Amino acid sequence: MSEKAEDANETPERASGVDPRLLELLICPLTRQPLQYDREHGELISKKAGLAYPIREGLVLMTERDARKFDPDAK
Amino acid sequence: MDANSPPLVFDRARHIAFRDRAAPGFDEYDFLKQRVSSGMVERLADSAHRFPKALDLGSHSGTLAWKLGESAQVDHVTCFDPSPAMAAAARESGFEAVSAPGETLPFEEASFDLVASALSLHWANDLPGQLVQIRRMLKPDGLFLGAWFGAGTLAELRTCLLQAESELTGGAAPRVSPLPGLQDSAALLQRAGFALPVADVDHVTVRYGHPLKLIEDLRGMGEQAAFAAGGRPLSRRILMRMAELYIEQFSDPDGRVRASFEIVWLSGWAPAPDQPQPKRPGSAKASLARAVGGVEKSAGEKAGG
Repeated sequence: MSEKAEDANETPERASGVDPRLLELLICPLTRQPLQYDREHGELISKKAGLAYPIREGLVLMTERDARKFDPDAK
Repeated sequence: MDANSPPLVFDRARHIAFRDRAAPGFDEYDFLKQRVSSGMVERLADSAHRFPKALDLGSHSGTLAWKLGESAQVDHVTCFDPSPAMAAAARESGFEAVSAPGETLPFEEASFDLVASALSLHWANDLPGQLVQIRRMLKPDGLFLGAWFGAGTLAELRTCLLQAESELTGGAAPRVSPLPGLQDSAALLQRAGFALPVADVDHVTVRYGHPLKLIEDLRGMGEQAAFAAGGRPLSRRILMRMAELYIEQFSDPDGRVRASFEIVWLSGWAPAPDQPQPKRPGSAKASLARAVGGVEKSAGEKAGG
């Protein structure tokens, strides 16, 4: 259960249900590369794959179907 | 998967769809998951270690995660399930949850002190690959505890479906997943580089009023067959004939039918320098039988090392 750790960190990420320490452990399942957390949009960005994985109510959905696609080469 | 990969046994998308469908009512069909999850926490207690960060791999709706969270040895549990609906159910139970459909697990190396997996990994097309990934996700001296359905699971159903289908159609397609046996499982652990690997098997017999109730349970667990090769769906006629054969051959005196589940248990540690090392095979100088004062005879059903 997450309760034991919960009181320690009341950050915005915790409020949205995702512990920043979890985000640090995640990699892109397609490229195996680290992900960038876009706090504003609640997305995990895989630059090389051109995918932004959504975090919906604390659930990290790393599926291509649910991801927002972008051009990996665009700046 | 590249061209050199072995052919896929399971249709992953289909299996995930079955899991998704089972998610809302899973708690009504989770008796095996409950049993295995309780057993897993008991096994955890055999070790004096503490496990600050744990991953429940193939968490379904969070049955095992819940029990791990109650253990004083574990501080924090993350749930992972390939089915978004199962992961969402775990999330609703208050756990951090991640879902990704492929067999590449989306976690950095050395992320967890414990990876626990109850009745899920038997769906992997690349079981050796899954185990290697798990070992890498563990911190040095981290523990993997797993349980999966092994060979011999649903032997009665397998037999009766085969008979029914060949009787009625003159041929038969595989209807029950191929599953790893105890020896295979132990060898897989060892090959994946785990230290002190151990595998053993737990035989569970479930009794049903009718064979079709077993089928309903399997669906409720999201465990119905999902072969990559596809094949014809099971017709009602074959199912009914299967049920007749099942009742004929596998009934107890009270009229209930038996269904066997073989649960293979696995444990192994991520290697670390200061771990106890097993001696090299053959390096012993005295026989164990003499040491314990018994007579040498063949070992029972226990494998690993």
